[in-house]
Amino acid sequence: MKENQAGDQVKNSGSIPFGGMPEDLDAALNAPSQLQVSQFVKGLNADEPNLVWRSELNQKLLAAQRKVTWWKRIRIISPALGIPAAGALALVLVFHVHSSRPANVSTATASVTIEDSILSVHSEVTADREVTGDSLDAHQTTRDATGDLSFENEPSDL
Amino acid sequence: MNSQAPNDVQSEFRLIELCQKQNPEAFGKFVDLYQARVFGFVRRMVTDAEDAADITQEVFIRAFQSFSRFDGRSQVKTWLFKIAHNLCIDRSRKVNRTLGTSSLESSGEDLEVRELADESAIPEQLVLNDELKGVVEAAILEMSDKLRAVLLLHDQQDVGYDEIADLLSIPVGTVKSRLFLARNFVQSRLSAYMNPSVK
Repeated sequence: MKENQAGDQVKNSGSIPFGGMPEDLDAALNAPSQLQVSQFVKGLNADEPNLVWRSELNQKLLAAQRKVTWWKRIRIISPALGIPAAGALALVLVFHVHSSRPANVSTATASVTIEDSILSVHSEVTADREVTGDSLDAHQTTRDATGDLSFENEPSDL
Repeated sequence: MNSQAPNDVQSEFRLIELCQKQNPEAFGKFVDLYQARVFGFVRRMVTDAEDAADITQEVFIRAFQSFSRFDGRSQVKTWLFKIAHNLCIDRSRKVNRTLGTSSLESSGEDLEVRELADESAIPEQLVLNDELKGVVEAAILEMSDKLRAVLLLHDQQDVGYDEIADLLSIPVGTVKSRLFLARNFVQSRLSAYMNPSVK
């Protein structure tokens, strides 16, 4: 009732003062002239997008859904696979580091050892022959700590 | 439209729940429910019909992608209109930048205050025929984005003052004053149409 009276006042006053707003805005908004415009706006034609529009939207939504599903899967899978994957990665790294470093060293040492051993075997056999001659076998000679050759069953009286 | 039956409210609540779980079928129904309203709003916010169609599609795609983040604090229609409004404003800014004109957002309000209608010039029992609809449509397109958004949301889409304030991030008092100015602007155009001699 009060609103209507105020609305009438706004209406009867002819127009709103230049550049200003009515004091009672609620009342002014309920003035018949304002409500009439409101009804006009409500009565405007309702538009509906056509079927082509809808079909396009469905396709776009399908694409968006695939994207969402992909992200969802990653989100679900990542915690489950995260720890084993991290563990596996750590193992690989550890083994890689361990195997890569000694591998270089061992390859180098291996090559040295083989050559050395061939040489040492050869020099041992040669030395044995030189010292013992053909009468003694290699196993009948021993080396002391200094590397000098001595003879087993050496005659004590010599 | 605001007074929905309890069953409608329940079914809408259920529909929203399903949409939040990215159920495509439920979202299809959701689009059926709101496409006309969103399109009606967007089509009057942007002048180009093709742009309006594209923006409306974008509204629903964004809604689909971010439905899980919809917290239900506001009505779903308010949330949808917020997305739509933001997209319309973005598009308006882009167009203005391309055309090198001043922003539509900043224009209008001061002008519109000076164009307050002479209410006595409009008969109270005026019937809205196609011609008058054209005048009203033209007036809506002519006003600033700020006024247009409030007018369309309140008078066409039945969104309440509080919701509009929340949607546009402005005080309720500003919503009311913009609505008043927007209606007055339409009224002034109607007066000019009814009485061409009176300026």
